[in-house]
Amino acid sequence: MSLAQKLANGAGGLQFVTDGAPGAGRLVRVPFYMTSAVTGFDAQIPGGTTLPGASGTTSLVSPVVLVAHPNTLGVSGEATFKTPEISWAQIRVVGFETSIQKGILKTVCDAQIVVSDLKIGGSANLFTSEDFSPAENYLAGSGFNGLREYPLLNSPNVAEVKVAVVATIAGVVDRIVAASGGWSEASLFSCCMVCEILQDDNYGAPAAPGPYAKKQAMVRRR
Amino acid sequence: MSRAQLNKVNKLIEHRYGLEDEAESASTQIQYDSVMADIARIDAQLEREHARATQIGNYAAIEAMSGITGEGSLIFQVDSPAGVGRLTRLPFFPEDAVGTNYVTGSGDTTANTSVPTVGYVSPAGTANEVNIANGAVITLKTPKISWAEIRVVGFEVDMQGTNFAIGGTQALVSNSIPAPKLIVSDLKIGGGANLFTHEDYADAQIYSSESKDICGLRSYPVLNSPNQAQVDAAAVGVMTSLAGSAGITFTCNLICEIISDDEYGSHLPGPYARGQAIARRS
Repeated sequence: MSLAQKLANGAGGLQFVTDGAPGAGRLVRVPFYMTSAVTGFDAQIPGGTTLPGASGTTSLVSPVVLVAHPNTLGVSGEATFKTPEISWAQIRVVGFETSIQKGILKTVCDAQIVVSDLKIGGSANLFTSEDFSPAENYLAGSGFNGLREYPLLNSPNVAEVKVAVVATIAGVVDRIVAASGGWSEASLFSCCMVCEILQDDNYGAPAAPGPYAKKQAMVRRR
Repeated sequence: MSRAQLNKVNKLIEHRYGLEDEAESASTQIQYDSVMADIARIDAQLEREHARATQIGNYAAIEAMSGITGEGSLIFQVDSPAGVGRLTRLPFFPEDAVGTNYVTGSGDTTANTSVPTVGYVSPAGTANEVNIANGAVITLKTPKISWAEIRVVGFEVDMQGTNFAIGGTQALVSNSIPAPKLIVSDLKIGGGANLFTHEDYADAQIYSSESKDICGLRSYPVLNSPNQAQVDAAAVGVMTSLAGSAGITFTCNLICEIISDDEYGSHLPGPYARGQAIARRS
């Protein structure tokens, strides 16, 4: 902006900004669905019911999963979450996001949901940590957390991530009468990839991807 | 620092402020054009001084002196309105009857085309058990907008979950369970293809109105009457012990740019909604 333009905006140099939409095909989300469950993980399906003590329900339709507070200390088994095969578009992965909903009042500490081993097809891990990280690190709305690489997601490849839950205090079983799980202090969890659509069979090439997804915009100048 | 250049720029700026006042009080078009031509000449001089200041290391001093960035070169930003016709919201309404345990503006499961708010309240559970009773899928639609041409640039959901009254025959602690979640799928305009990237459901949290970021869509189509936008939604993760022990109230909105309005004329949409502004340069 030239000096004259800055002056025309008013003395004091205030700049007025507003949040915008990202542009077609940018910062879209592709949800993960739980394809392999462990005890305490139950996908929540529209119109469905889940009885006390039931666990291990998977779903290729609903991404929301009930994660029970474990009754034993330590980390639970790992559930596998996968994105669907996207045959109708070429997509670049630019981020990973989680959403966690917990009860308001607690009588024991929250069990923490942890994630690990985010990968596309048979690729290397995209997380910086080789082991588990708190899912809160990637909480939606708290700024985008970086990944080691922004790879292409081409069908039949899918993205997958491992999810587990850690209890430092055992859940109190008798809070849900006649149940073997632990729904008191349970959480509802979902996660998704943040992506840029490069080519869409239905809508064409929507736009140039955002600068964060263009190599030229991040090249080091010598 | 060149004091002489600072003085020169200062005089130019003072002169420019004076001309701006003259332009505002100009009584004829000729007078106005003449003042604006003077301002353009001063702007050209300022540009030259600006370039010279960059060369001789006087840039920061000039910016500070002119009041643009203030002492210390702080840059100030203020959130502002988006501009007329930009980032407007168009609600979805339950035009068709909704499923059991959903509540519309009519107070029950009846369709309602004037109130966009929809609620889902958990039914009574089985004695001594805590079940999960998820809502069935409902379809929400925008009204037919005959008075404007609109471009869809986003989708937004406002959600308020409750989990207030676990207790009674159960030994659960109040508010120790999570509030339900909303899931959404199949956003489309008329008979168009799905605008969501997901063919199945996604957690509506990614479209939350409380998020600073607006989530992307596959395309930004034009919404012309009699076409309507529609979306499927369902409340899930609803724990039930007593009736009403948990629930969620929600509204869904399209984020739109008004391209032309029968009452208020045409507007320039934001750059994110103009093909040329986001085109790939080869």
